[in-house]
Amino acid sequence: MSWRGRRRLALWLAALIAGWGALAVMSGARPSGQDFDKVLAKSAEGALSAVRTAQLAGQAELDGRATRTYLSSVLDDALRGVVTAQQRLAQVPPPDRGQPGNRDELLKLLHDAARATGDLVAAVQRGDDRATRFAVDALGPIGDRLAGFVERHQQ
Amino acid sequence: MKKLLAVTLGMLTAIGGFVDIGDFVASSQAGSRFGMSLAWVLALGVLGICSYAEMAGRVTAISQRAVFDLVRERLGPRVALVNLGAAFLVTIITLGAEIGGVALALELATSIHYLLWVPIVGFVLWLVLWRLKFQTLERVFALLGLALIVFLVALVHLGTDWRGMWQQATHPVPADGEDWSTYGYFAVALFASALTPYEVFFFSSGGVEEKWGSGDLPIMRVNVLVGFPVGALLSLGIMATAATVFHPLRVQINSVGQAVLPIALGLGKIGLAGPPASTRCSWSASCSASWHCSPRSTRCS
Repeated sequence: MSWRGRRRLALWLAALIAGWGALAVMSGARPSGQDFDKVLAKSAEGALSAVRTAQLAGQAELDGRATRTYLSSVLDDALRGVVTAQQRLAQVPPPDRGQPGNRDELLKLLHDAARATGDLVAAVQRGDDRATRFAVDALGPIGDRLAGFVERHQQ
Repeated sequence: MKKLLAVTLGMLTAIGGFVDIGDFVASSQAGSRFGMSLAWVLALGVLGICSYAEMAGRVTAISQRAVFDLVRERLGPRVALVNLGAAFLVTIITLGAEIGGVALALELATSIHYLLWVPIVGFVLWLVLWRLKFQTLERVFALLGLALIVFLVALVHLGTDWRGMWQQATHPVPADGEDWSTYGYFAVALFASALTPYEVFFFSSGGVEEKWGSGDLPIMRVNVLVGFPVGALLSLGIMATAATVFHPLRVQINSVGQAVLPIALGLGKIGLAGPPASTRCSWSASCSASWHCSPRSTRCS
């Protein structure tokens, strides 16, 4: 290989190693306060979507507007949405002092959302209208609180 | 009479065939996050697909050759290979998405996990593709896609705020809490979903198989210039139902089941009766996408 060819190869290799190094540094970096706020907002948005969808689906069940087969699939997705939000939040530790308070507030909200959505799934599976209504009523205020949280933490 | 039937069938096919799973997902997601503020993208997309499809149909009808054949002749094999590779890749991805769409819709109807449906859907698709003629395939499945009209009917029953919808559509800016980059991303996704290559192939390879001549041009133009815009109206209906039900509640659509919920709320069980509408549009698109990946299509192009 000519001297020029070797130089070009060396430059390519150096660029490759530098790129890999930059990625490695970025992936190993601790999340900043801003990153954590994004995680908070994203988790709350995901849970809000799941809770509101579950509420609409529950209401459709009470009004007899949808088949149970269809609803069970929608509700399973909603429950999965809340659990995903919980997992996303649990994976990132809060880097700043003020943020654990926000995290704890959202964790409590997500816990309530998971419980109410789970109750709704069980009630629809049993065909228990009373329990379904109770769960739908419980999901309303949880959705409002999540919407408030999202508004406070967006951008 | 025969000509009228051909025009009507072709138009209905274009209407039903316009909305595939990509349009379905992109329109409902855009509606839930941005209301109707991305409606202009659909208008732009339908303009694009009408131009391309009409051009492809015209080239085929006059030259009796598929568009790709002429690309290879005029621009050389290298450029043609890039064209073929890109179109093939997008069509393969579309096919995967459509098979997944059918499987997800069947999950909604049966509660059986969608992954269990995937091989069955794949096999039935292969069988249908192998046994049916292109014309039958195109008409049966695209006509079934017309079932998506339930979204427009549901929209009327949902008590839509038409003035608010118009306001959103005439103000193309991100909704509260959304930024320009997400808005741009969804604009590109919507535009791309309206301009999938298989829709153009319909008027290229399909035209070759059906031996179009210059006498078929008026019918083809009516099909394209009326069928696709009305098909876009169905997409707009999907976007509008999501904008009506989900956007005010700040719900983001993440699943096919969620996207169908406005039908249940607007029309009840009757709207959800039989396989969900997305099954039909996915079937139509997956059949045509797989047809274009098959040896039958290669013979034409």
